[in-house]
Amino acid sequence: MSIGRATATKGVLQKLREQLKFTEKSMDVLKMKRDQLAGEINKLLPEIQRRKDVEKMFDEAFESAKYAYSAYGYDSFSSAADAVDLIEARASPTTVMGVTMPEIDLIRKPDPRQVPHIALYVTAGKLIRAVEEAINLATVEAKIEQLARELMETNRKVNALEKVIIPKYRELVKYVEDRLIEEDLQEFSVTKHVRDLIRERRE
Amino acid sequence: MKSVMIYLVTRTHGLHAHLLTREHYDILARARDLNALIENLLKSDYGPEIGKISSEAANASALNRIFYSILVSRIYFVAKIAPNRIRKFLVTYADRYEVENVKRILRSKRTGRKMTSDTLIPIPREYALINFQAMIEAPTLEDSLDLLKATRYSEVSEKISIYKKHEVQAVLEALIDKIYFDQLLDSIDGIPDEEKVKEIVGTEIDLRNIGTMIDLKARGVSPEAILATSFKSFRLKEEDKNQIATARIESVPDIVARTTYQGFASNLKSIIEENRIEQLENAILKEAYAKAKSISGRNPNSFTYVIGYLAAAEMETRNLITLSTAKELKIEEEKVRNLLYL
Repeated sequence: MSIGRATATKGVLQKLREQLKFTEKSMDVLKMKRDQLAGEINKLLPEIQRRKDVEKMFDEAFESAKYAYSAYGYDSFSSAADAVDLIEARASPTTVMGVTMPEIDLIRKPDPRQVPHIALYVTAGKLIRAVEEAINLATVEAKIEQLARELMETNRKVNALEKVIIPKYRELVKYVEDRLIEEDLQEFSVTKHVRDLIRERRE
Repeated sequence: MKSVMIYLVTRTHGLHAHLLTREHYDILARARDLNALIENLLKSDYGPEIGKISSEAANASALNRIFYSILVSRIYFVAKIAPNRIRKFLVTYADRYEVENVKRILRSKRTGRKMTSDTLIPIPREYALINFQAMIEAPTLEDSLDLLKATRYSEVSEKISIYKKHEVQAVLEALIDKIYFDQLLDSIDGIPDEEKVKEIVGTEIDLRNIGTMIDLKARGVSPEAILATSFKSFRLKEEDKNQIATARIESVPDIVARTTYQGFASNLKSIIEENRIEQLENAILKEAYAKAKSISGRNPNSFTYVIGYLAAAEMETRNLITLSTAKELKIEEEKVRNLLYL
């Protein structure tokens, strides 16, 4: 946004003042948005710490799966997996403060109770829990990514308004005000000079 | 002993010599990878079949199918050379592979997932009494179960309400197991060495019964359904079964300790207490196999030896499946050894 030199009139001054006021208000709103975004990120950050737990869950589930897989062999293992419904998820994005965030709903969770053989049942339970946790964690991470991107953009806008645009507006308003005062003074002295001339002629 | 029986037992001794020994398992367990394992197996009875698959297609899955096909051919070969009355029992014994196939088909029917007959255990045509292909092609689980009405598994359709009440596949499978094990126990009557054969097969049935009841308990199945799907007992009393069905899982080892199977109870207790329930089935099979091995080893000149051979052949298949899959997955040797039935 560029703010050039303006014609020094009262109308322009009024318009500039209105624009400055509007821009300052916008900056306040953006600052509020920035604080809220930062707050949202702060709220979500502790959830990211669960990543280690989820990784551990996956490690345990894979160890258990390896054990079960070698105990039962490929055909038995995949046949046991046939007894369980596939996981079904729906992505339904939601918008918070103009930020589109992913929301994943598990429409159908696999039921590990359907898995035959106790060893495979235990493995399936571990795998399903790990996958569910991974989905939740991925949703949180994606939310943080979107919020962080928006936060950066908002911050850039706030900085631009605070450091560049608003000071320039203020400068411009001051310039127009000074010009108007100058013109007023000039008009006053001209008027005074004319009045003095008229008086001299009368005398 | 009749001459046909002498022939069967002698022949079984010869067949037993083809089974892998502990030394073989040591070599296979130490194999650095799947290819090294295959190299070693090429020198065994599995060699000709393994030799037919290309090196690119030689994976654990392909090997597992070969192991099962050799197992089935071994077991039906014994049935083929056995006298009539014994053959009937041996064929009933071998029906466990038919049971496994029925279960595999029903699992895919539950979820509507596609399956092909090449994932089934190959049963010789003359012994296949169930039309597996028709079951695979049946559009729903109910249609597939309808096809079982005209077979020995008709009871499944009659008791389907138990499954429908819980909607747990394990209940359906327990019903099928019940039919199989009940018929197997009945088929022992009148065969030579009846008592010793019952000791081997009955022990397996009782232990599997305990395992199935614990399994169903872990899935939250009601005691009534657990009792309705429990098998005919050999040494396990009705009262024991009632107690197991109604007790908490943690209390089951104490109930088992009061039965003939007190030796297994301590193992069961540590499995449950140490939260290693996934090792239950392995422990049950190890116990049953140890029993079969010990009784048949003490009676090398009787029909019991034949049963010992069948159990050993099955355990060999399980061991080879474990070893080949573990080598493919690069599982440590020590962990693999714990899974083996030796």
